[in-house]
Amino acid sequence: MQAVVFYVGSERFAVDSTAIVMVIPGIEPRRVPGTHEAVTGVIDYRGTVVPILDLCRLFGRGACPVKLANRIIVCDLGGGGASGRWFQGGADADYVGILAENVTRVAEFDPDAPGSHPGPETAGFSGLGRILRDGDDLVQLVEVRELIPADVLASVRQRATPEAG
Amino acid sequence: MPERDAPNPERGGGRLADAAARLLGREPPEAYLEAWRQTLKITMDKEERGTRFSVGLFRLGDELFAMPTETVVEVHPRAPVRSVPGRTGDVLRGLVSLRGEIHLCASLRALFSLEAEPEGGESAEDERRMLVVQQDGETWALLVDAVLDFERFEASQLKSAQDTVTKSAIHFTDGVVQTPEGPAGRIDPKRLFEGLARSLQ
Repeated sequence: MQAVVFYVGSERFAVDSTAIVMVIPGIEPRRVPGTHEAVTGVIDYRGTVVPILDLCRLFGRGACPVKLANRIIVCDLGGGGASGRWFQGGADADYVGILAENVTRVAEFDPDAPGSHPGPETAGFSGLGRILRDGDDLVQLVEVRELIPADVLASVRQRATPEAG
Repeated sequence: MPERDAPNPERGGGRLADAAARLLGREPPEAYLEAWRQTLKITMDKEERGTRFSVGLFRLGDELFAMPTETVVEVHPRAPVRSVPGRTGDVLRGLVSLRGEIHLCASLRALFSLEAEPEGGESAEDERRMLVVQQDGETWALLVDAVLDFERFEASQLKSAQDTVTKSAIHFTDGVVQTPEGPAGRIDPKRLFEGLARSLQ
């Protein structure tokens, strides 16, 4: 599988490229008060309201610093991703953006390579998958769909859309 | 608050990698972020579809063509084509495996009745590509000589094909756009897929 590699602090993670719509700079989102602490707001992506999830906050490391290398990975939770019509977006698109550090590399991984690990059980936390070797380091796959409950994202979208009142 | 040490994503270091890390460690200029905000706001709504269109420019021999972007799934380096006994012809070249999916593969030169592709070995400069296109769930990998760029045009820039597109290919186009490299016939996806379907019969 091809995956985009990124960091949260000094830890290396990767997300399957088939789920990715686009990688964009870390533009400041429009804030949506009263939502999950890791959801920093929403952006307008080609007419679609896209909640932005700060992985640094989600993983308990404070806000993601503002840097050129720290970018938003827009993912399609509906399963379209790169094989879909990524440039179209649309009001019904089920996108989420994850803000992470040093989003600068694409790499090939074999999730079933000998020596890979299914990942430790993490009570009360979901979305972290297999741990694989990546050169001289380890990398953990992230299941974006499971990082945050779908109803939290739906509520953010609803509150950020003016028509919803 | 002190800034946390960000890891260098490049292994091995080196001056170039260090310079890249320094650049990527900077705060993005506000104008850069604003330009991105505006770009992302562009929607492909019906009104815009009526006034502007986007195409992928590709080359077959000396001729340029423009594939509507919404038809393009991806551009891929040439991959081995497996011929299908009894079915492979000039247009239908066989099957190709891209990212683990099997697609039908066709020669656009043959479909457009252009001169056959010259024999050539693979090299680093090989510009030949597979243009993967999709419509109504049907996907084809099309053999093209080179993919140049993706560009946007105003609807008013689409002119009549007249004498600028080879007669045999004109059936598959619905007009011509002027590009810096010369005129490019815009492909009509409906006619293209009809032509491709005929190659299966």
